[in-house]
Amino acid sequence: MSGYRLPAPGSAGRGASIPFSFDGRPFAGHAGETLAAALIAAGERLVARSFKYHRPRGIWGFGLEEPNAFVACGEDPVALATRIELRPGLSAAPLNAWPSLRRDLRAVHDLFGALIPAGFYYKTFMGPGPRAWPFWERMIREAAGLGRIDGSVPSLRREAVNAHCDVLVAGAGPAGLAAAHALAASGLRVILADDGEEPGLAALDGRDASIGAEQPMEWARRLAAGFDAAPGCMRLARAMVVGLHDHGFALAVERAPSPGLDERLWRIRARRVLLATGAIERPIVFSGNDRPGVMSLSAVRRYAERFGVACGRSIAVFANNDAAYADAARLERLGVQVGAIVDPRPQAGAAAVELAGRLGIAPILGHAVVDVAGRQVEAARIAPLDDPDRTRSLDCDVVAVSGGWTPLAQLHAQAGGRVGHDARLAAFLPVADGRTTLAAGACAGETTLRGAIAGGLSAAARLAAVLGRDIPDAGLPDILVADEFDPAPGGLFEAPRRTGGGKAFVDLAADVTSSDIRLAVREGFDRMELMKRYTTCGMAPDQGRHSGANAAAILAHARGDAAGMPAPTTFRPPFAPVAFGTLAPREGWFVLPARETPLTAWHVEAGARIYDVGGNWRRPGYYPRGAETLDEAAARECRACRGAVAIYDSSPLGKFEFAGRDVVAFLERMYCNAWADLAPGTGRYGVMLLEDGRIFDDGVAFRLAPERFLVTTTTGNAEAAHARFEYHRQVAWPSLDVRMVPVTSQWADVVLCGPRARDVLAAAGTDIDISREAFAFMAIREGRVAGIPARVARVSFTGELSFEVMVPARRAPELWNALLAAGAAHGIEPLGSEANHVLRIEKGFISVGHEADGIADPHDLGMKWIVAAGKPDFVGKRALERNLADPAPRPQLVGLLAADPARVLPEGAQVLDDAGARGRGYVTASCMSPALGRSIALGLVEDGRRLLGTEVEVFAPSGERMRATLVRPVFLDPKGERMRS
Amino acid sequence: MLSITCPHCGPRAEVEFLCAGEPVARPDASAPLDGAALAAILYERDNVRGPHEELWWHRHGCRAWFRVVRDTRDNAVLP
Repeated sequence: MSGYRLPAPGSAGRGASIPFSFDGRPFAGHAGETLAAALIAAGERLVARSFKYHRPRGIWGFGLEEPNAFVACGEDPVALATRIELRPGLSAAPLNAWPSLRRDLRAVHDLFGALIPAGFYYKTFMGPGPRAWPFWERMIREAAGLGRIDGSVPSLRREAVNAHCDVLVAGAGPAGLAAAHALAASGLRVILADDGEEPGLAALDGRDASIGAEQPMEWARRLAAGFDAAPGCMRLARAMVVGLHDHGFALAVERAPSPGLDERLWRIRARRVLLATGAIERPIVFSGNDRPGVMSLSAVRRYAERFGVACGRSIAVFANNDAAYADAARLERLGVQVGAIVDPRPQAGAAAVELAGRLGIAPILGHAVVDVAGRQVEAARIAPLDDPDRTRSLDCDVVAVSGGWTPLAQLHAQAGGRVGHDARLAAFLPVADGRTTLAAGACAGETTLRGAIAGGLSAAARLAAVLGRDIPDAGLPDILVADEFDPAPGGLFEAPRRTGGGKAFVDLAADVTSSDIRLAVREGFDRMELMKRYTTCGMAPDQGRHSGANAAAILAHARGDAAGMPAPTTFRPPFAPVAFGTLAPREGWFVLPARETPLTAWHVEAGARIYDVGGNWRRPGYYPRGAETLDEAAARECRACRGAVAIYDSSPLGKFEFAGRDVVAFLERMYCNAWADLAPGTGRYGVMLLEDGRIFDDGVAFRLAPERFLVTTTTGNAEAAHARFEYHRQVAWPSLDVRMVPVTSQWADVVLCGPRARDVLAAAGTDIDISREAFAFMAIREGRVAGIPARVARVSFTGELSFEVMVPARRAPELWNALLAAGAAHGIEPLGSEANHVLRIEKGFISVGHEADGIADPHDLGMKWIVAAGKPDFVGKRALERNLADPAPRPQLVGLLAADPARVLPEGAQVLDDAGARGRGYVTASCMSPALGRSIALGLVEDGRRLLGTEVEVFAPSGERMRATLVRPVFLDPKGERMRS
Repeated sequence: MLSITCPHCGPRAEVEFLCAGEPVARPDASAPLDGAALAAILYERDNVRGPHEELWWHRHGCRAWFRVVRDTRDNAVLP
């Protein structure tokens, strides 16, 4: 037992009693308290175990700066006890403690701790060879890890919103508040985001000072109220800015914004950003500085001031700066007993010493805490700096440490700003660069209340001027502060080591000691970035917030640089851990919206297996009947198409309408084939290349009128084709008179295919003459089908007689049902993409993404006939010509017949050369053909056309080898009589 | 997330756009047949450090293609 409740409540008041559980034991705290405060008040000191050595850890800080007290709570497997607000029924569990917090078997790590130096994992487990690491990794992850996700806990309720403003002010301390208030008064739209419960709490709560005629917190409340009343301004409490990105884009996470909502992500675009993020207290490195009971001095004070909780019966202050003396005085005034002040400096400020004297404390100058007694602090061992072995014991249950203050410059650096070293504060400060961000207050190195408020006001004036506003100079109020001393640290960042002293931690969260850093430097990892990766210093969830300054100082000391402080490692967002669920608060369709055709509902209703592929369209894969498998259903659908009639939904096909005087010239340049000779009322298959001669996309285009075309692309490439059409229209050939509009979603597209297709279309009723003589293959007609205005085209992707019926999207279900009804007598079946795949392989029709694999050009696919080589220019022409001139063998499209007709060659299987040693191609598409009663496949094989008729070896991904014969890549109706019928 | 100013629609979030990199002149019918020279036209880019001219497409907006000069060191969009 160590901490306890003081008789007087803190500024938060003492709310209703709230029961909660920690480590499986019942506790009670008060409403408004944090978990950490309630645990300290209950006398709990040991709250977690450390990451690497499983050492006992207590609470170090008061809020965000906490590196130790990670607990699993609710959805969050790694939450900070200092930031969890008590609520009834709250249950938290310590981290890294197995089987329990108090009896942790893995504490044996600690005993062997001396054997685990920096880089230990690499040296020991990766050194022995490439197979060593995967073996050890599993065991290490099992033993280390940071928490475990409890899948049974319901997810937090979250949302994300967008906001815009003129100025985002991050932090509502004295500087941020003064600035936001002034900016709001000038009429600018300001968002003020602050992590705390109430503006100004961290810096002003409990402070003996006056601003004008007001107490500090009164001043803060008045400014906040004035800000809240300003039009267009918004204040976010309990909202931390976690990321600052380019062009003034910021992410802020707001906790418990309203009842029923646990978290809200703000995506804020600000014209300017003012950083008033403050500073956090820095530890001093000494042996045993991770023991429960070693705390941040300001945190000890805040627990007393805010919650009326004393962290211990007797506090020993270990500090290297004058400001700590004022904190000690504030503790005494609150009834927390400060037993001693240990100060490594030879001399402290006169006023500070005098203040200590009034408390009856003679500071022990020139001394440092070199070790602590007990696994939890029972006493501090102190010694003079020049003789660390001459120790004496100082009774205390808390060592309250202050090693100076570290400004939080992370957001400035995230946004691309530079930081510069300030020797007085031994810290890196934001360097103002006239870009989006500006810093004020402690974040900018201010150390007085007056300086912070003045800095905030002057920053506000600068920002207002940049944004074209005037801030009336209200002047600085009179500011009187009692006992305001300099927090600049006096040199020492690490206490001297006494003989036999234990580990001295630099990074408490990542379990990195000062010896680890020195070892890293000796082994050549002597830059911050290298040392960080070698030791993991700064890689824990707090990203080195508490440790960075000390780590830099120790590194500089270890390498004996005259050059001074090494630059910190790159700060990257987020500033504090953010759950994935926060960044992507909505699930399912909101993450990647799926697209549905007007007929998707019908397909679902009909029991189709729906595939979400190709441009995110939800399309039917196959329609299983009863217990049918995929293969059985697809085979039945294929037989209906080849033997009678089938119907499928082709609506996702990319569709674009082109018009203009130069539309033919435009398409002639976009495609490798000719269009000029295409008669109105007919269509043609076309292929688009990339500039490097590869096939980009294919599809049929119809000439509706002399200067009007309907162009179709593949489903998957519709977006990319759109971009390319617009690019060439706007950028490459702006002089051409061409207009285009995408109509993919405007026209639904239903295909009737099979020998009975004409009968079904006639039965459904159409005013178009669909006789073979009047409506030839590849023609397009306009008219009515089943009473619906329609465009009907005779194109075929199945190789059967086909009518492609395009109708306005909303009338598609009507058309579909009419065609189904008309086809019932003919045995019509709906056809999914699986059957379509089979039908097109049987015909040897290429598919973009399979045979057109991003490398193949038209010649490779045996499509020399399509290239209009005589055209003066088209996209890819020059590269295509060069490919042809190159004598190197090219992959060419072939068919493959497996020696065993019952076996389907796996798609992607390699086709081997004669020696069976090297791949010379692969299987692009493969299936069992119901029409042929055997397996067939298409493939791309080097010099394939020359090798037709020969047998090759095919190497399956499973490792199996099979034989197959190369044949022409068409298995059915090579003359195309069926589709022309 | 960058803020890109579309000449028609004004400043919009980067997610509305597609960036196609530096503008490249098309190799037309008079381009060299020599492989290396053609490869240079097709594939080799300057990858500059500093002001970088690039083409953007307002795909989820007015579908205009336009030029942006962006400083690759700090993403500042230059006038």
